[in-house]
Amino acid sequence: METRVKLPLTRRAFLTRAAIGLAATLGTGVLAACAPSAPSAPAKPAEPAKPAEAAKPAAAAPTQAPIPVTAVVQPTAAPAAAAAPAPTQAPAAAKPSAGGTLTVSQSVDINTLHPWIGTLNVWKGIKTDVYDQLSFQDPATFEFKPKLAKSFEWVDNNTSLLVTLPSGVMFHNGEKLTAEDVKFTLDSILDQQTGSWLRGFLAPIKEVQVVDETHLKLKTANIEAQLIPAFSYVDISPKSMGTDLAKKNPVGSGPFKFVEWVPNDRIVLEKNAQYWDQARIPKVDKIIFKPVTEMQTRLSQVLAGNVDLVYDFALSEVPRMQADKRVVVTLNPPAEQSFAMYLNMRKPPFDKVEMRQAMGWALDREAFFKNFQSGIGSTVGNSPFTDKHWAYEPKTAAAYKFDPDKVGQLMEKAGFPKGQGLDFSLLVPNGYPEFKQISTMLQATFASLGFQPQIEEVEIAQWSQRLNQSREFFAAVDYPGRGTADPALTYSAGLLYPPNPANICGLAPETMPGYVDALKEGAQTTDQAKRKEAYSKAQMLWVEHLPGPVFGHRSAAHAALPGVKGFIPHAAFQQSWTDVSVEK
Amino acid sequence: MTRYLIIRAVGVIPTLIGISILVFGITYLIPGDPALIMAGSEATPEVVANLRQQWGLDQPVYIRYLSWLGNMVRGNLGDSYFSRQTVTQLVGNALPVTLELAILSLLVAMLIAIPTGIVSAVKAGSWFDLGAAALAFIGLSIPSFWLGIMLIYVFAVHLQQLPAGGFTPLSAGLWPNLQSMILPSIALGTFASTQLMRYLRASLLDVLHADYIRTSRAKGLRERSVLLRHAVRNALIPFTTVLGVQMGYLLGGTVIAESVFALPGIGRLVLTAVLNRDYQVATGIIFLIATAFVLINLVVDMIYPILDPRVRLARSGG
Repeated sequence: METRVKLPLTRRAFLTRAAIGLAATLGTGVLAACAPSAPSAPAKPAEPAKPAEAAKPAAAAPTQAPIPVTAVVQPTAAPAAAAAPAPTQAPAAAKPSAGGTLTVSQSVDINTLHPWIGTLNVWKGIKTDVYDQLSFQDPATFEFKPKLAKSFEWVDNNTSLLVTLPSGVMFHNGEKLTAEDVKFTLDSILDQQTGSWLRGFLAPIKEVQVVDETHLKLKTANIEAQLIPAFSYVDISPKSMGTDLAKKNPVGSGPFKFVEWVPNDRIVLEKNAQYWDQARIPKVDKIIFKPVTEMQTRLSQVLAGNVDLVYDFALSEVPRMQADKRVVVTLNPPAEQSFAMYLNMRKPPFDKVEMRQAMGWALDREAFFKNFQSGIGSTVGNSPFTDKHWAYEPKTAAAYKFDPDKVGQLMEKAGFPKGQGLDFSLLVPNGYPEFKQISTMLQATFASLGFQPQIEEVEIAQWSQRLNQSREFFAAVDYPGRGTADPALTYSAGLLYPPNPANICGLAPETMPGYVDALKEGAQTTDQAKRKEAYSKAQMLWVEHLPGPVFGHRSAAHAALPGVKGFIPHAAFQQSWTDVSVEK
Repeated sequence: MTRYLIIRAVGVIPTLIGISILVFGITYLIPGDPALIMAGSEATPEVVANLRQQWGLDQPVYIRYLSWLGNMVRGNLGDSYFSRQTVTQLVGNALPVTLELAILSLLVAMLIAIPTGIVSAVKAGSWFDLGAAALAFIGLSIPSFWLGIMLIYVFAVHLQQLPAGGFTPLSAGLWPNLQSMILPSIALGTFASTQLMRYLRASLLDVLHADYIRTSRAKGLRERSVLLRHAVRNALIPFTTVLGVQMGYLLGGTVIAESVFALPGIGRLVLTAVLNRDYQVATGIIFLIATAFVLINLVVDMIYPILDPRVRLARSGG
């Protein structure tokens, strides 16, 4: 006889339903959260430029000086103190008070503590002050200057770079920093086993020789102009720490000490009062970095006074934030990052130069910047550099602009009249609205000429894999950086310009005859006129063959409370916080 | 009885194996390469390949699965590819935040649902009832992320009474901790309250029409006593069961609330792990949650016969 009691909902049924409910909701939540959202991007290695006056973003962009190739003197003043174009909230505007805590809201959390492996810009903005680097890029002038190094000098008939270090530099763990630590760092990065993305930056180094405790010789085949700018990315770590640095709290010799990382919550740094360079002793006692993925929350945090500074937010929000008296908006002049497109030259239709050129004429650049970037940015395109850079070739300016008729003609010349037989799509990562906006505008141009390319929107990880590994794409927008760097570094590293196996477009040395020779000449001479000539040639070859159209240059925006003084955003996100003070 | 318990306990093993295959398989089927994400686009193919080798991603999928399963059995949920922290450590930090959020959200949901549901049922068809129904539909239609942003705008940006996001741990004080949880709890709890309120109203209406309520009134009991001592108490029995189910939904729903309010909970941890293809963290957490539910089910099954003799009788009598 069945005597089991039938309850309306048994505990077991409840638990089962709860489990299903949790799994379903968790799954739905994850999927929903993966969907396109405001620009609070997950994890992509690239980003903004440098400081400027809020109202006139492009006006303050300085001319970049050529890199030093002979002896240079260690600067005694703090980097930001040498800033030429003052940002909106100039440090001198109010008397900065020492001490206190600076709270910075960032768009994503870091994903590793490894200094040579982590690629995220948010990580660069933290570790730059924890470690010392041999050189740094002045955030105001874009010049590369010695930082830890006292000087760089090409010796031995220009086949060795002699690096002189200061004495008395101590790591945060109390060890003395010597040439052995620098050698260890450089050798480790060059070792494939370490897995550092910086390996290509240092590739010209054949051997690192320790001369004495404060001198090293880096053996190369020739002068290599990319090295000194590349050193600004290289964090010097103590030899005793080894190379498995992801599991350990960072130990550097920089002006801030690392305190803790609580994933998805905070990263805390504290002032290193014993920092060797007294001119760069931090003004604040502590910095707390908070990862906040939702952009509206980040902006609300600064408006509510919960954080002191929001680092990098969407330009579409600039007018609203500028109108609010509670915050001060600082803009990077458009220079470091360019809106560019990878065209896969390995297969049709972009194996044909006419189709690549058609893409160059297909975007209404003015409309893009006006409608989607709040009018902030630079339509000076067709080159990795803007017209403020010494290497910029002005003849590239007129090479491409918006002209649908020209697109139609080139399509016909390529064998696709009115889009007949044409087949390509535009690959877009979700979470990057600018890429979608440009792709949609390009889609509209081609649609008006008879062919409507599809927009394939995928997750960032998938986007990255398809571009870098499987190469299953036709065309994709990105904003590659290093437009403010020395051209030797711009053209030797990255994914768009260097002709090597990592090039996303499939650019090989033979694709553009004369291109590699021009790049070598530019990188291996100290004659500035010859360098300019070589890079002009490289830029002209680029616009002729157009492996990737460059549509313009991107700016970036940051918002801070009025009490935050001395903040000068760094072009390449190698942000230093030593000059920043907070008045509560 | 003992035989039944053994069968139930043994039955858990294939369930867990099935779950492990599903969790591992689905996570690894998502396109994307954690080594490429870690090394960055600018790393050479050799560097990426080296990372894949270090993490064992170059191994055939069944070997990776067996290795992962072996570690799970030994209680090792693995390390994050990225942060290199153990999954146990990451879960240990994140779980209290999510639990606190879910509990407070449920509290908010109950505070709204119980009085509104009772009054709506008692005054069925009144303006209050119609208004509550309309509000419930609005509440059901509003996405919690939108409500969250609006709450931030009003209470943090405009009124500046509560923080606009971020988490303050309990160790920093009860009030600061609660302050950081008020808005997320309201955003999450409001949605849950609408469903609970409608359920309680329907349940109470059923009870109010029951014979024993009519009898109570006929006995001359005061209306307040009829309502609170007889009707509401009985209506709350099925309501409590639904409340438990809601707790499950709330735990899952924290993914979005944690992102909007920048709370370092489990939801955000899983989301970040999935986006970064941090397989160890994603599979570890999902498997952990699934295992917890299976084990709770098992324990409940074992406790049932002890708590309820009728069930024991049914099983033995068969």
